Formats: sequence, structure tokens, C-alpha cells
Amino acid sequence: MNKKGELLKSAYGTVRKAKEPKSFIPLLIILGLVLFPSFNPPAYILTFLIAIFMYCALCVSWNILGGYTGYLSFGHATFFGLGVYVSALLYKSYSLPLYGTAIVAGLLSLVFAMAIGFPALRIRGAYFCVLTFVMVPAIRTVFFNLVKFSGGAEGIYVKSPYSTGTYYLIFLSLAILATIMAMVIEKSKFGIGLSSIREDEDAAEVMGVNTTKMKVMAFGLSALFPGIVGGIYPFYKLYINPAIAFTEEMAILIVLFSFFGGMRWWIGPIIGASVLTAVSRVLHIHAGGIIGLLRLEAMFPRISSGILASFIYGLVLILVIVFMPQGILGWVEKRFVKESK
Amino acid sequence: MIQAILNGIFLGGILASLVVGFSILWRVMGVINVAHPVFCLLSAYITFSLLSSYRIDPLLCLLITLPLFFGIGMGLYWLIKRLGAKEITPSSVVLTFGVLFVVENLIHGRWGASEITLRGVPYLTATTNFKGLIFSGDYCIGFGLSLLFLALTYVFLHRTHLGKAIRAIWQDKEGALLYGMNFDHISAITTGLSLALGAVGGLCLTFIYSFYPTIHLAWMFLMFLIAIIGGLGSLKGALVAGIIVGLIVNLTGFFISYEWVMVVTFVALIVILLFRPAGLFRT
Repeated sequence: MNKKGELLKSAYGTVRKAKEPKSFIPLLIILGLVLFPSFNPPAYILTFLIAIFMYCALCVSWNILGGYTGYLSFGHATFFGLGVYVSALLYKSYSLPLYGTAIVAGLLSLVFAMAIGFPALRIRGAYFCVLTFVMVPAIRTVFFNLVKFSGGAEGIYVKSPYSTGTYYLIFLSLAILATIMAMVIEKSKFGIGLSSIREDEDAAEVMGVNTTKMKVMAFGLSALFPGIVGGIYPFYKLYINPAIAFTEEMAILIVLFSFFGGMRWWIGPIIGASVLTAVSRVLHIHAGGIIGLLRLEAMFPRISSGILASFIYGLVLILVIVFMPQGILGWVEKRFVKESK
Repeated sequence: MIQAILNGIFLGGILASLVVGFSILWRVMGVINVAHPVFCLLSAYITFSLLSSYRIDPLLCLLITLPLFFGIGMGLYWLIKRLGAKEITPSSVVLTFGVLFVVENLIHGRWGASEITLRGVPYLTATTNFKGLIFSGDYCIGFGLSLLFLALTYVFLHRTHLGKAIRAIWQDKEGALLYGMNFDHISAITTGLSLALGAVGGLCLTFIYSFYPTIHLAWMFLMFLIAIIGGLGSLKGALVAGIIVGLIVNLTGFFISYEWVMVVTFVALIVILLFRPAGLFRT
């Protein structure tokens, strides 16, 4: 069966599965999330959930390459940043509205990813990680320097017609769409091909899997939603500059969240992104109290709640990786999945 | 321009000492310690404190920081050991990233975000003029110190019993174990060595540049570049690659402008990875 037929078959399978009883709970959760803003919750909860949706979309897309093929892209934030800039520049030059710019941004990110994937994906293992990681500061420098083109360090201001509630729904939809894309790919023949690359790339190549084509396609598809999410971002935050658009922190967090949640299936990055973003936010809220309680200013005169929060976050990461080296999914697998023997 | 080349060479030597520890750890244990530069930075900050509060000369501070960071390295190994051998490389990135968060925020909380330089050290501000070229104390002493420690490390690895044991494990782990070597013990020492070297590197780098809590990210970028170009685990490679990168940095700054350095180094990295991923000197 041809490629299109395969994808349609797997999409149909996914939809059919959605109608089964056990899929009811996730659908209920999604319905709850969709209806949530109509209860007029406080803005900080909405922004918190928006951050979670953003990282869910980013991580589940990243996982298309990272989890399924084993090529860990430590520079995925570049595609987000490109989406940010394409969208902001289209807005600035042509006053295009939000939806148009974001979709174009996503498509351009996809194209860029495929272009850079050709040389980059020839490199394996840790070197690929390093290469993609240094993409972030490099591209950021380009945008800082080409002032006439990008506005440079001054950045771009954007006017936004929508409320936080609308952005909430936009980011939620993007997270859902990205997840659906990952689910469809995972179950398709394409997805199985990607897994074979992870297991043993040379063997797959020998068996007739066109690994180069699949890797490049996976890389491109994994950049689509980060580009679209990045495309919405300037309208959400109203101001962007290269330092905001391209951060190493985001690049590493995407990998971290996915790794933490588990990279084998689409649900791992969702769990990782949700849990760790929530942990981070909770830490930020309570850090101030802890500083007062333990009188930390004595030894650390410049401490602030943000600093303590990041510090504890680092400790959490260390503990988690030491006790759950395969991430949450791996831990669940070990504890709850019975050995067949 | 010759001045730029000269300073580039000096810078390169200093960068090499930053990178050697990282490179060795990656090659010997498969651990990518992204926290390496932040430990280098920590060493610089500690030296700064000792200098400003107790007037201890930076070089003397090494007597304190070297054992300290060696010990921290052994502690780090204790954490690494618990990761398990399978897929150690990505796990080590996550682990060391956590460590990075911890250390960076320790620095930030203690010393604040403002830019700091080492002050009041006479030999750092001295300059001499030789045939029209300026030799400034900070570059020269930093370069000299880096080279000294690189040489010491070379001697250690090649002439001492322990050093040879480390190289044995590196070359053929199973064979070395068959000889009854204590893998844990030696790995712990290797990690300690890695961070101790980093302490020296960080100190030297701050002779010539002022520093702030997030500068380790910029250092990390150069560190990866040099480690890969030089070939992992190779001391010579780290030095040569360091000098190459130092020259690239200074000459780019001289001919184009300092803002483009990162893009040029990125292109250099892609070129190296595509054509000679093992780097210049294999081990």
C-alpha cells in the first residue's frame, strides 16, 4: 500500500480507537480543559496552563525525531525561534493576521529543518546532540546581527487582538493537533521505520529502509508544530527579540521533559512537560517562603525566589534521573508491566 | 593583526585547559558533563572571593581550589555511578544539566549577577612591549599556567602508575578489569581530575575576561567546539584545537566583528563534523 494509504489507515485506526470506552477518560479531560476558561479562572492559572500546552506541543513534536529515531535534537528551540521571527516579521512588514503568519511560520520551519537535516542527520549520537545544540546561539547571533532584516536586539513589538482565554484555546488546540500527529505517525509504517532506525540504523538500511529520507522527513515534521507554536508566540507575548526567541534553556528543557516522561510513546513527553512545568511553577511560588524560613540570605546575599526555584529544580532533576533513568514511562514499565516469562 | 594572532594563540592555550577535563571525561566514561564550564566558573568565583576578602593571590588559591574540585569531582562520580551503564550519554547530559542548574544558581545567589573581574593582582595588569607587540600579564600568565597544567597532566597520564591505569581503562575496559583494576576507584579519580583541570581552566579564563553567572553558556559553546575538533580525550588535540579556535575567535573579531564569532564557529563545527568527526587527533 502506498504511503498515503498507510497514513490514512493509521489515522482511521486512531479515530476509531478514540471512540472506544477506555479512550473516554482522556477525551473527558480534553473536554474539561476546553471548557475551563468559561469558568473565568484567574489569569495566572491560564498562563500556567498555556505554558504547559506549549511545551506539550514542542515535546511531543520533538519526540517524533528524538524518541522514535533516537536522534536527540538539542536545538529544537531554533525551530520555535524561527517560527517566532517569521511570524513577527510577516506581521511587521505585511500586517498579516495571526493565523496566516503562524501557519507560514510552521511551514518555513519544516522546510528549514529538512534543509538542515540533510547534512546534520549524517552525524550520529552525541555529536548530533552537540551540533544541534550549538545551532541555537548561532542562529540567534545571526538574528542579532542582521539588524536591517530582523530588527536586531531592539526586537519587534506586536499588537494582539485576542484575550488570554483565546490564546489558551489556541495553544490547547495546537497541543492536541501535535499529539494527534505524533500518534498517527507512531502507529504508521513510517513510525515503525523510524523505530527501526533507533534500534539499529545500519541493519534497517540493509533491510531496505530508506533511513536518510525517513530521518529528514521526521526532522521536518518534528519542526512543524514548534514553528506554528513559535508563530503564535509574538502575538501572545507582544514583544520578541532574538534573546527571547532563541534560548538554550528551551532547547534543553524540551529534551529534558521528553526524557523525563519517557521517549518511546507519544504520551511520555506530554507527561514530562506537564509534570515538570508544574513543578517549576510550584517551586517559583513557594521559593520565597523557603528563603525566609531558612534565612538563606545570610549565606547567599543575592538570592531570590527565582534562583532558589531553579536550584531546587536542578536537585529534582538529579534525583529523578538517578532514580528513574528511563523516565516515568520506563519506571512504570518496570513496576507495572509483568514479565511474560 | 599579528597582535590578534598572538593573543589568539594565548587565548587558545587557555581555552585548552578549560576543555581538557571535559574531553577526557567524555572519552573515558562516555559522560558529557555540561556542567563542566559552570564548575570552571565556580572556581573563578571562589578565587575572586578569596582574593577580595583575604587578599590571597589567585595562584595560591589553586592550592585550595584544586583539591576542592577534585573532591567535588569524586562526588560527581558517585552520582554518575548510579546512572547505570546503559545509555549513559543522554542520561549524563540530563544529570549534569541538573548539576548545572544547581551550581549556576549557587553562584547567582551568592555573588549576584553583576560582572566581576579579578582586581588588585599586579602581575595581571603588567604589560611589556617586545618588538612592537604587547605582551600583557593576564594573557601570558594564563597561557603559562594552562600549559603547565596540561604538561603536568600529560606526565601524570603517561609516567605515573595511576595515570597509566586510567589510560588502560580508557583503551580496553574489559582487559583492564581482568587485570584487577578497581574501575570505580579509577573512574572517581578521573572525574576528580577532570574537574580539577576545569578549576585551573576557569581561573585562567577569568584572568583575561570578566565574568558573570551565565557566562558558562558561552564557554560551553567553545568547549564543545574545541573538544570535537581536537578529538576526544587527546591532550595534544585539546591544545591544538584550542589554539585554532582561539585564532578563529580573534581573527574573526579582527576582520569582521566579534558579533559574528558564534556563527563562524558554528560553521567550523559543521565542517569538522561532516568531514572529520573524530577530530584531529584520535586516541
